[in-house]
Amino acid sequence: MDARAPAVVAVLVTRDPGPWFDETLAALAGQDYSELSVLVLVSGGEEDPTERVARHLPHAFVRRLPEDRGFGAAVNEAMAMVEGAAFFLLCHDDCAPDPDAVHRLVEESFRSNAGVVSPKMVRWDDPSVLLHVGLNADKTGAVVGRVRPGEVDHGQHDAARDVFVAPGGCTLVRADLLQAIGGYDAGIRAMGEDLDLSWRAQLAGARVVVAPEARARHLQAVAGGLRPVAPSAGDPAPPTLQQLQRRNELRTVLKCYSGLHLVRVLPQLAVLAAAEVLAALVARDRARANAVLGAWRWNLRRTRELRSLRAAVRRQRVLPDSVVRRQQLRGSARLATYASRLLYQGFDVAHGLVPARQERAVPGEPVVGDGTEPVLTGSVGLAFSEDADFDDLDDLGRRSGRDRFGRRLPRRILASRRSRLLAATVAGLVVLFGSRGLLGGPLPVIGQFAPLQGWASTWHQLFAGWQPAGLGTTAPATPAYGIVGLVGTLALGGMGLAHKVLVLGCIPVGAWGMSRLMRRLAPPRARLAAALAYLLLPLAYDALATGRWDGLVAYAVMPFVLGSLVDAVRAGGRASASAAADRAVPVEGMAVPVEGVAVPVEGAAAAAAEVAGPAADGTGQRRATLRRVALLGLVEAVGVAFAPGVAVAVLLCGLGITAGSFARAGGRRCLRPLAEAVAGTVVAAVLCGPWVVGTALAGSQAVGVFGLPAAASTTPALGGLLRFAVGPIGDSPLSWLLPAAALLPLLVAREARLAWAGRFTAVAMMAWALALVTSRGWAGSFAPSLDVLLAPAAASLAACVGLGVAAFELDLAGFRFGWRQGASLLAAGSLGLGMLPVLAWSFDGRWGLSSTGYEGPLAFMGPSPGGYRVLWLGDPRTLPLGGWADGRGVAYGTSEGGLPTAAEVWAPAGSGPASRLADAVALALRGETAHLGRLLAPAAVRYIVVTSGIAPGSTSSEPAPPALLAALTGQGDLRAVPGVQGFSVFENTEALPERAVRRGPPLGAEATARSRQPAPAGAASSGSGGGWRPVLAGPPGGSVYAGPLPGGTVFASFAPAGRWHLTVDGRTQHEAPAFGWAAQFPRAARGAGRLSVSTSALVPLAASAEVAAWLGLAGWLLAGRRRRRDRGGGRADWPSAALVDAGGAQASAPAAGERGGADTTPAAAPADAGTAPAAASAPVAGMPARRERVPQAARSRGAAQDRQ
Amino acid sequence: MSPHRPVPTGLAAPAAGMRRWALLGMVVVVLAGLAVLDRGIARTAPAPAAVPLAAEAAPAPSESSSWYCAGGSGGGNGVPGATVYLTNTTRTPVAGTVTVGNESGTAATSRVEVPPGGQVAVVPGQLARGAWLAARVDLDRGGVVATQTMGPASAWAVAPCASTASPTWYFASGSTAPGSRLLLALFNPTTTPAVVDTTFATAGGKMSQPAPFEGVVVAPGQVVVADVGTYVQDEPLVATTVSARSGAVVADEVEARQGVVAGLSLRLGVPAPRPSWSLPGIEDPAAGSSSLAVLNPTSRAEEVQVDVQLETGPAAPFDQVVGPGDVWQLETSSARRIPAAQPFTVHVSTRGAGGGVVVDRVVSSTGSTGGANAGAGSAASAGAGAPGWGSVPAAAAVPGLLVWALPGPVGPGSSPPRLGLSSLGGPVSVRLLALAGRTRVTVATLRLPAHGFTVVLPQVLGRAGGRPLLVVGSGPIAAMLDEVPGSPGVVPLVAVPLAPPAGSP
Repeated sequence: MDARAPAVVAVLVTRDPGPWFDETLAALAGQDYSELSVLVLVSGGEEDPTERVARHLPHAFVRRLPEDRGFGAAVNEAMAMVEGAAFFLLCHDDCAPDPDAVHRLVEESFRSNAGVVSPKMVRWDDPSVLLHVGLNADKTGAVVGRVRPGEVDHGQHDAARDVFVAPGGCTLVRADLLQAIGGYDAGIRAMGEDLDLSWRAQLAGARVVVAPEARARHLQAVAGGLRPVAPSAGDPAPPTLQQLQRRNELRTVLKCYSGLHLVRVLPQLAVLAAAEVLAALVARDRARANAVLGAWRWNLRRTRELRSLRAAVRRQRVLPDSVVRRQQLRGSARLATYASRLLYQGFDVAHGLVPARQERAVPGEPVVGDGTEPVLTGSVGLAFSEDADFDDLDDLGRRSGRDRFGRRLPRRILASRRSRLLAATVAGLVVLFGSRGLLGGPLPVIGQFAPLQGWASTWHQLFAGWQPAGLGTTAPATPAYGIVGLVGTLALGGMGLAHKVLVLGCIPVGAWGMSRLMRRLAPPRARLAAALAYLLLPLAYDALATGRWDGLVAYAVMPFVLGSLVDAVRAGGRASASAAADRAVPVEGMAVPVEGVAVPVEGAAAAAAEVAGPAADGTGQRRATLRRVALLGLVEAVGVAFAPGVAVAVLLCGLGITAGSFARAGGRRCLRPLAEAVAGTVVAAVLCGPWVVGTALAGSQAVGVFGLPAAASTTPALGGLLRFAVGPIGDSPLSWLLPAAALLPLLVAREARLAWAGRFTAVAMMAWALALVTSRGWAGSFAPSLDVLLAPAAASLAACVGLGVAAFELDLAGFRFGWRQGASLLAAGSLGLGMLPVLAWSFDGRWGLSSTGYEGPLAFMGPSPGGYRVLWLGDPRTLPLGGWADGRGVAYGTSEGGLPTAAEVWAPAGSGPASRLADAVALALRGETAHLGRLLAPAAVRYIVVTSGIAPGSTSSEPAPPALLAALTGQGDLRAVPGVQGFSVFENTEALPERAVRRGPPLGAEATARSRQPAPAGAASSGSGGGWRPVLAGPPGGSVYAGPLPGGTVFASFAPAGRWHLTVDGRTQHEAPAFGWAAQFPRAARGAGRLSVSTSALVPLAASAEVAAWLGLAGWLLAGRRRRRDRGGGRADWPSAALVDAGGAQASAPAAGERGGADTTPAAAPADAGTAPAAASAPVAGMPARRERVPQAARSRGAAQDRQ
Repeated sequence: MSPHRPVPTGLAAPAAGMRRWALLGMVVVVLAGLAVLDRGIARTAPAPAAVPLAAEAAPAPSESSSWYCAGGSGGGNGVPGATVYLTNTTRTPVAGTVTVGNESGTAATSRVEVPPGGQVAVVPGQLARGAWLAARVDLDRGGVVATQTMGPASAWAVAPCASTASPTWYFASGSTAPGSRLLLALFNPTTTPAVVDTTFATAGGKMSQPAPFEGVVVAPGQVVVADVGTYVQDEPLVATTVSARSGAVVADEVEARQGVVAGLSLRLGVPAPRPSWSLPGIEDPAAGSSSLAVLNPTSRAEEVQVDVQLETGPAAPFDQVVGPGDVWQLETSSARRIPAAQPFTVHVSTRGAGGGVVVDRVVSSTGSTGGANAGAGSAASAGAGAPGWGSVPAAAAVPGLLVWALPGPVGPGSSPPRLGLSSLGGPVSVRLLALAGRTRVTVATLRLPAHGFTVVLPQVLGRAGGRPLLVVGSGPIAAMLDEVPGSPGVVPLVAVPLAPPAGSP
């Protein structure tokens, strides 16, 4: 009987080993397993370790491979070299098994009949800390550890059990199994080869078992960044560990599942990947996003290779996927981990911006963050570790809220990042909850929510030299079409989705912008308060309820505009800050008292030096100014594209901040915000160049692009403006409370906060004043949309709320107890109660937006041969399309073939010949015609819709002039169509088709005369004398129509005359204008006709240049941002920005806070571009820690350690 | 080293304090200023819908104009036939069409051209057949006045056609007493079917809405005629309110009285109540009665004041609160403060917030005595001393109406009517122009004192030679023809105002 133990060959793969290699060799040499042979494979590298191997293992075999093709490939080479082995022990060169590890692994292999056995992995330098006790994986191949990072080994996992993955480093594999499955996947160089091997082993019917009695120390040199990954052949740079891990996981999934399971899993995997990319982009974790996307790219490029690998797996398969799936985790391990981290450790940890608590315990790593995040350990092991908060943690590692004596610890509201994240999440959920009714189904056709065209049509609209608005115009289109087209393209043509993203996305973007704005000026809690106040102001929801896209866009961009102007003020104050730093004389080496507060000397100096940094460098300052102006211009251009009134709002913001600064200190320096606002507007005008030129050419009508004057009687009173009651949401008396709360900083703030409150108040006052003036008609036809004009006031008010919270936090302690404390409490109460109206409306589910638009009651307006137009009349706010003013409170516009689309939402400034429609209506109003229908017939107006409310069925909040309805009712050729409340419809019984033909003579002289009159009655009508028949099919609003022509006179109701050409069987027909604007083709031949518009090539060229300018500027800004980030620079967040005041920069640090608040932990001050990091890192007492980004290496290591 | 905390001083730096209060002061001042602006300059109220006049000629340069004549009998039904007169007040010929519809909606169309300054008569009964005919006149320009007459077989009456279709029409007078026959004609000149309700109010505030008058469908081009007396019986004063649930119509009332005091009245309704009405230069018959009927069709009570201007000065006004839906009858001929056989002007105004009233004048002459009104004809036989009766809506006192048109002699009366003119404001110069083709002949030039009136006697009007007249004032005026002595019946007629061209002051 042969009592010899089965032969085990340890295959040790190494390349340029580090100093740890000797320990590994010694560990192998010290094994108590008699039948162990060692084969050392040197996989490329510079160093020859033979001598080192010989020193520890004189009987070991050393084989040198010509190049490094990875661990798996090297092991596969070894398989061919070895004969007669029962097991392979596959070892990394940084893994040291305990002396009894091999024989315990072999024992377990026999005991469990396992094909793959893994030891318990512990940390190299601290064997009491677990690394892995086997690994789990879910159906998407995401690997997750069974132990938490840093978990202390006290035997809690010491039971042999099946696992899905035997982690690499030291793995015992039955030799026949390894041969049967073909060894490792040679295409996996690192990170993931263990998952692949274990998965395929299980498909082949083998068990994968962890034997905790066997233990091995593992350095994880590659995962820990000690050993770089060599680039693959053809790759210029080595992939990151994260990239390797993601691509290999996906590769394993793609090749190991059967076809049926792959069909099930792959879509889920794609959805998860998309969500992860989105979350990573939100967290600005581009490395992760690139890794996820790169994994798909990498694998999709290797479909042929994958196909052969799948065939190989199919041949090896013994067990079906359903059996193997039982070993996998249910659900998504990655998603579960993300949610857990998000919930328990906060946003930053979840997104890898800050390493998890346990990860920070890695020796030698810098500790970042405030270190106060509670951690759910899942075991009691961590509780026995060295933890400063041990007394505050319960058995599960959660904060108990009591100290060691059982006393309740004082808690500060929203003091921790976690609580703020929770509050922000709740606010987001409220918005989501309130918008639930808008998420499914299309938006109703009211206001400016006309449905978008297809993505290609939208792009075409931008580049085409002709627009269907009115009766047709060659004016350039607004860049909004480009933005919509871009979003639609990114949405893969899902224009409904793009519509909702663009409309509903404005609200969170606005709140996010407010948070970014306040990041410069206030501590995190105040920032959150400002963002919440902005989010819960009625303005955006009123705009939503009334279908005002311009208001939503203005709401979204205004915080960014203010933020840019805040930076302008800071830039103006840097010189003074430098002077203040010079004046900072140490007193007893500690502090410089500044108006009641004190700052540690190094903090004040550092902060002042930080903000003064660029001032010393004129070039840098000029570059920064240029960058700021460009960014402002870009943001403004986005706003102007959708809402031209944003340009007015930007100038107003600049003027307000300048006035606020001037009132504080005076001096030319204060003009900088205004100058930058003007410069930004110029940049925006350049970016929107073609459209601006087209608008300017409209002459006096150009002012109409800012907005059309609504009836003064329907505009809100001053009280309504002050509380943003421009719709149904803000109508509650409680809406007064938010403006009241915004007064707090004026009462209790000091220094920079008071100065900023003054500036924001000036902006708000000016916005309100301008809104009042324009809404009352005192500015004539200059009437920007109220929603746009109030956006600066709303943003300023929210900023004041944030400053009020900051003042409450930092300044109130500097006053004696008195009325200010009472005012603060009142303001806090007002803040809370003031949000109730919006919260209450969230139960509506649609924010008051009507569930029925014009698409319901006007569904009868379907397509018609020859096409037709609809003339819309009513208050500008009620029209579901863009138009032109016909007196105060009355506007008109046309839509093609029924309901309006986005092509008619942004009408050009000049109405062109469409003004004749208004003239005709005016005639009817004056009683000078009883045949309005005939007058409108040449314009192919088949229907007239008179709106008297925001939406069909709504109360007549903006009634049409009563005389208008009476006049239309009395017309002999208009037939009233029964409708519903909110609008009236008249059908023109004399309407011509847009494209018509008749055998009779061409339209006579009266029709071709250029007259102010719309068209002589009876000149063209479909009546008995007309004989017009529709011809030439095509989409409504199109620029090409075609179809058979019977011959005769062809009339095309399109402007401008002369641009439209008719060809019949390829022959151009003679054209003669009709009515001074339309096209007429007398004696057109019989045959296949084609009517098309020809436009100047300048328009598409200009639009292309416009797109190039946008992309160029955006690219330049992004590149600059990347350069600054690579240099380690960044924004100057609070407190440094808050210290700077153009009126005399003074270092005004807040009072030191209590322990436990994230915003009171001493930490590094931020660094601006060009600022020496050493200066920036000086601690400032009482200032919150700035969120530091985790170095890439540390993040990669964390990711690698966490295997997710 | 413990963290440094600021020492609460209790006071901010003086400069900071001043800055704070200055800032707060600025906020208060700006807000107060805005509030003052907001309240001081009130928001422009929406321009109230101009209350349409039932008959108003479109300005001459109009692109087109239309007239709707609902009250034309086809000659049957015991009511005299109707004739439509088109009077061109401009210097250019105006062409158009006359479309006649009957109770079944059948239409017949005829071209018509009205010479400059001339008059054309169209007899609907010659174009279409039917017990009741309505005409729609579509003209290529404005400046043409359409009136309709009934008679002169047994009696005759004249009234302007309507220049607008409206969903509401009001008649303040009417009678279904024995011997009186009251017909209501509803004509839909639009292309939209109309559904009409009609309610009747009698003296004392009683209102009724008989079921047959509910939801009457009037098809486009159709005329519907109903005998009010069939449902509202034996009421000496019946005010009528026509209200369309949908669409718009034109409403006329025809009232025929038989008996001792006979006559025929054709009245165009009033599309909306107004706060001010005028009856310029009228005169109560020495033998007979005259009264004003004031209907308040609104939902709120109206305080009505009737001012009477005599040649010698104003008389004490009459005041009355007229309840919603109620009708009030004022017997001017029995009022002692109005001397008999004296011309006077009545100005009816309201002081409530209800929106106005509707005023009709009813004149009845027994013809038994002489005087200014002696010789009023009867329907039965023409001749002096015969009794007569008639009624007319008051003239809308619309500030801004400067030009009124009077068609030429349309009735068989032996002498031209008396024209009453009153000023609605300050002193006004008035010229009476007779239209003679493309030329205009000045008949008289008058001067009206502020809020004064004058009566242009028949002999002065006779200078016009029976041609159409234009009354041109330098300020707002009201013009009205009064009784026509010697004609069959008593025929008052409100002159038809000409709307000023767009852009004119």
